[in-house]
Amino acid sequence: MSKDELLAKLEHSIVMGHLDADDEGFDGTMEGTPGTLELLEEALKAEIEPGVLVESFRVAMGKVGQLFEAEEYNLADMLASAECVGKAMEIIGPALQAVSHSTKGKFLIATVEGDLHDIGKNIVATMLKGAGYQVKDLGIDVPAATILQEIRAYKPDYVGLSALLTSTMVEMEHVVRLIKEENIPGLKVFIGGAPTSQEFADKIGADYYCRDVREALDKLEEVSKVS
Amino acid sequence: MIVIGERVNATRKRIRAALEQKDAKAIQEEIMMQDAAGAHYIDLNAGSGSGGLAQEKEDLCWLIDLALECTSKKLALDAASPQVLKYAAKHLDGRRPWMLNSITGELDEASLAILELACRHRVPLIALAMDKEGIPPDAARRLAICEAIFKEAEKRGLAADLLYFDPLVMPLSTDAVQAMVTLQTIRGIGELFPEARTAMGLTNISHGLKKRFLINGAFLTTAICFGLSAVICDPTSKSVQRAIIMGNLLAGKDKFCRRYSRAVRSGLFEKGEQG
Repeated sequence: MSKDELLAKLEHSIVMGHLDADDEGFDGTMEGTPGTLELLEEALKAEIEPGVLVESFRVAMGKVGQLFEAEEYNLADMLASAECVGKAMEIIGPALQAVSHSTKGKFLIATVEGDLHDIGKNIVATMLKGAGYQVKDLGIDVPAATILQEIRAYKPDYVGLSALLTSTMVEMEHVVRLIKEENIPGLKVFIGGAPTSQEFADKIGADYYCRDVREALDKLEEVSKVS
Repeated sequence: MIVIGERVNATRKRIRAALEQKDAKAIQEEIMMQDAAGAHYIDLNAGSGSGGLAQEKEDLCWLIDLALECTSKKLALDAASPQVLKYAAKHLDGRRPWMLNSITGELDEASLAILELACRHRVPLIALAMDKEGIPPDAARRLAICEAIFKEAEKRGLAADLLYFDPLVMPLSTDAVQAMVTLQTIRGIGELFPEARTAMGLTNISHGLKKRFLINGAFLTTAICFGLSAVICDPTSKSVQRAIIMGNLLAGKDKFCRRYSRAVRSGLFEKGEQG
C-alpha cells in the first residue's frame, strides 16, 4: 500500500469511527478489518511524519463535522470518530512533542465551582482532543483558585469554562474576572453551557460564547488562524 | 442478544400442513424469512401431537435437510422425546452447529437422557424452570428448580455457558404480576449462575389481550435490560426487531448507539405499527 493509500484509509477509518478491528464502524460492516489503531501502526512503520498524520486527522474530523451538520451523523457517531483521533493522538503524542509546529495549542477546560455537570464539558474536551488540541480537563466543581493556579502552571492558549446552572453563572463571572485580572497576553476565554449566551459572555467579559461543540470548534479554528 | 426463530413448529397449522404434504417450498420459505430477519438459530419442531415418534423422527430429519439446503444459520432441535432428539442429532451429524430444546427441572428419565445428549456433543441446552408440579407462580421456586438443574448439569460435565435457563413466561391476563416474576427470575439466574444464559419464549406474556405486539415489545425490551441472553420468537416481527434494538440500547450494549441509529436510518421505526 502506498503512503497516500494508507493515509486515505486512515482518514476513512476515522470518519467511520472505526477504532480497531474489533469495532463494527458507523455502518456496522467493518468488524475484522483494520481500524484507526492498526492503520496508524502501519503508518508509523511506513515512517509517515506525525505532522502529516495530524493533518489527516484534521481533514477527517472536518468531514465528520460536515456530516454532523448535515444531520447524517448524530452526537454518538461524532464521538466515535473523536475517540479514534483521541486514541491515535495518545500514541503519536510523544513524537509530536518533538515537532511543536503541528500542535494546535493548549486548552484548559473546567466546570466552575458549585456545578457538577460534565456531559457537555466532556464532549467538548473529547472533540477538541480529536481536532488536535492539547486538552487538560480539570473536571467539575473546580474552585477559581485551582483554575488560576493551573493557568499559571499549564500556560494554556485557551480556557474553556462550563456552567449549567443559573446559580453557577455567577461563579463563572467571578472566574472570568479573576482570569482577566491576570492580564495574560493572548489567552482567550471561552464559555458555554445551557443558561449562557452571547449576551452573558459580553457582560462578563469572556472572549467567546459557544452554543455547542460545533461552535466551539469553529470559533477555535478561527481564533487560531488569526493568532 | 441471541434470536431463536420459532416459526418452524408443527403446532402451527401452516407447518403441520406442510409436513403432511411434504411441501418443502413452504418450509424453506419460513426458514429463509427468519434467516433474512436476523435469526441466529432456526428452531425445528416436528411434534404435531399426532403420528407418533417414528413419524416425528422422520419429519424432523426432513426439516433438518431442508434447513441445511437453504440457510447457513445454526439449528435448534426442538422435541420432548430424547429418542427423537438423538435420532435427529445423529442425522445432522455435526454438519451445522446446533442446540437442544429442551429439558425440564423434573429431571426424569427423558430430561436426563437429553442432558446426556447435550453433554456428549457439548451443545447448548434450554432448560425450563418447571418441575413435575408444573410452573411455580413465583421467582424463588423457579430459581430453586434452576439450581437443581445446574447441579445435575455440573455433575454430568455440561459447561455452565451451554445452559440456557428458560425463566418461563405466563400470561399477564390471568396473573398481573407474571411479567415481574419472569424478570426477577432472569435477574436471579444472572446473579446465581453468572456463566449460565437465559432464553425465553416471548408471546405468552400477552396471551388473551389486545394489541399483543405492544406488550411483547415492551416486555422483551425490559427483559434484555434484566439480562436476558436469548429469545425464542418470530424474528420477522417488526415489534420484536424494535424491542431488541431498544433493549440493547437501554441495557448499555449498543456502543455509540450505532445499532439504534442504523435501525432508524433503515426505517425500522417508521413503517406500520403492527407485527
